[in-house]
Amino acid sequence: MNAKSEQLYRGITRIDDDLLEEAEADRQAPLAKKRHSLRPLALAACLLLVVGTVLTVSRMGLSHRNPPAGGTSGGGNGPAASRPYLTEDGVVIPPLQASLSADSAEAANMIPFFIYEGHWYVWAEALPVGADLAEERLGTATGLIDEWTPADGYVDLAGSVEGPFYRVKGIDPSFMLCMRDPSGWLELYVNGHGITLKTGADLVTGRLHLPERYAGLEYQSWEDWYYSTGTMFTLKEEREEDALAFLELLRSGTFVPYTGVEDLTSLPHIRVLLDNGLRAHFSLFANDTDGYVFYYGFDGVYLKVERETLMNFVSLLEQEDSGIPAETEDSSLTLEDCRSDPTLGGYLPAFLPESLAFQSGYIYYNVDPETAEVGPAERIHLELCHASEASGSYGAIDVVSTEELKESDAGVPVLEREELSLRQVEKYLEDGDLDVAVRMGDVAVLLSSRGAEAEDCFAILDSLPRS
Amino acid sequence: MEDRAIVELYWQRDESAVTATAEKYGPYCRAIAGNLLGNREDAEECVNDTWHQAWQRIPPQRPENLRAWLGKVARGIAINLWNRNHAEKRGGGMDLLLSELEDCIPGGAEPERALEDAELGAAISRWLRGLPREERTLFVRRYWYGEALQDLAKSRGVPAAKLAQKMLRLRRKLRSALEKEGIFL
Repeated sequence: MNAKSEQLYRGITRIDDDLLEEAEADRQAPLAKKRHSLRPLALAACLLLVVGTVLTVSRMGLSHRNPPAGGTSGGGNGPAASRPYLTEDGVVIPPLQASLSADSAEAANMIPFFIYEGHWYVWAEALPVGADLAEERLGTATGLIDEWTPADGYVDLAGSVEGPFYRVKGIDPSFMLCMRDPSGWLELYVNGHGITLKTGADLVTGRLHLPERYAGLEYQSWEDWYYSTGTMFTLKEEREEDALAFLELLRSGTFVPYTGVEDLTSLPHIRVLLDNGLRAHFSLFANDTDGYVFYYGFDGVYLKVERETLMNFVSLLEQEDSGIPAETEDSSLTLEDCRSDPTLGGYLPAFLPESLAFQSGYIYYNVDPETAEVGPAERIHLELCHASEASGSYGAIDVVSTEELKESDAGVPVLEREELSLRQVEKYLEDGDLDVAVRMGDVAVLLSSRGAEAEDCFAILDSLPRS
Repeated sequence: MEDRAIVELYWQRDESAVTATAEKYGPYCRAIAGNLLGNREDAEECVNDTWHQAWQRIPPQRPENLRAWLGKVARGIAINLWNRNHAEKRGGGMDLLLSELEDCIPGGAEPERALEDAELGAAISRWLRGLPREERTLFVRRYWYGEALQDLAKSRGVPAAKLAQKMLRLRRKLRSALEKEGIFL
């Protein structure tokens, strides 16, 4: 242990209270969405989703469900109904329940979810642009519960996300559904509450249809996963028997509540690929006596497996000749990727100064709500910041249609490309902040900057195409 | 219950103060302890010790911001627990957090005297106030609340690798700021 690091830790502990309050407010805010997306939460009806922790009594009259007599809880201090608990039939993951609170001290996380036919589908995984797994459209999630929700508590289709959702190819809709994100990624939502799981077969065979649908296996070390380094490997085909043995290990495992499971060492992350393009994400753990596997879709439970077999598989993955480097997935694009977009890429500025250098880029597409097919780009978003550590300047560029600009950024001054001048930019620069858009026909480029000089902002806008 | 009323209960040596504290700030303190210690058992011990410390220290203290005060107490207990319980085994968020903080250690000669935690805290506060809000809240959420990088990245809708780069820049900025103030550890 580094004593100086610890001293810094203690110093950080003593920072001013108002800085903590500011960060706490940031923590309590809903998950950040892209600038153009979902409607903001209504303060009067802030729906909190509490997963696997203490639930508050719902004002909507939904009641707790208590475990059956003789059932045992998985431990912990909260009400037994709030956590997965063990019964003779397996681990019960209790249903999720809504907690309406306008002012809660709960450290709750707003997790993407929606309700369909009484089941809560919670975000589990995302597949990159190009994943073609969406089938029949089953409904449209409407977003937050509001003051019009009936008093009897009927909340179907409500949730923290809104938009159409679809059946996943080859998967029972009572287990998994999907939505297409405007970035083109396919978001998978799993119904993992209000269910009972006994053995790994309930997941591996019963829901994922493995090993019949096995198509491959990818893996990465825990450190690479944690830091999203992008380093990942595909298990070589000649190792298929080992992969199938791993699936058998999962299948024969037993579900246990995670409370009471201690002293776990983090091991690699695994993605089992199915022949329909789906993948199942697992993280592996072990303590001195057992192996544990967490499936990204089932909160609060582990699959307890035989330790030695698991560690042998981990050792195999750590061998250099077991896998080949896999293509990385990064939802963030390079500047060249953004410039290559056939619809909007040509409208990006040709020049970016050091004070507002490119940091990351995103493209958002027009998605067909009926089919989830990805259409042309409707927005390109660039994140900018100072290239060195000398300054805190940062900003963003958005390329959108002028119609979209009216909807999402009404109030931002709009200049015609021909009338752009340094004086115009200086006019809109206030206390180091600038928000201005330049129109070029049906397309507008919006520049937001904080802490950059007017000359640099003008240079960006002046490098926009002239025709 | 309002914080002022809870603090008053402590001053009246009314044991319901602890119950009220646990009800209002239990999840908050548990989240901080959980982030840092990565172990439910240790986190619960940390939280229980926090209530004990609150009972011991109030009075004579009368915290104006009870939530922040409790969080700081919990953090202090967390590092001690981590040292005590994990001399051999490392793990949880504290490991990574302390490792990352090594980037912030200012270089230079050994200090002539030990720097008080409060002095260092004041210097770090000054540096934080000079940052844009976005960077400031990210730093505090990562290094005070102990939130995992992955969770922060998700909250910002950005890849964790990009956020890791930003956090590294921030740590180096802190190091420069401490060196400029002549602070050496």
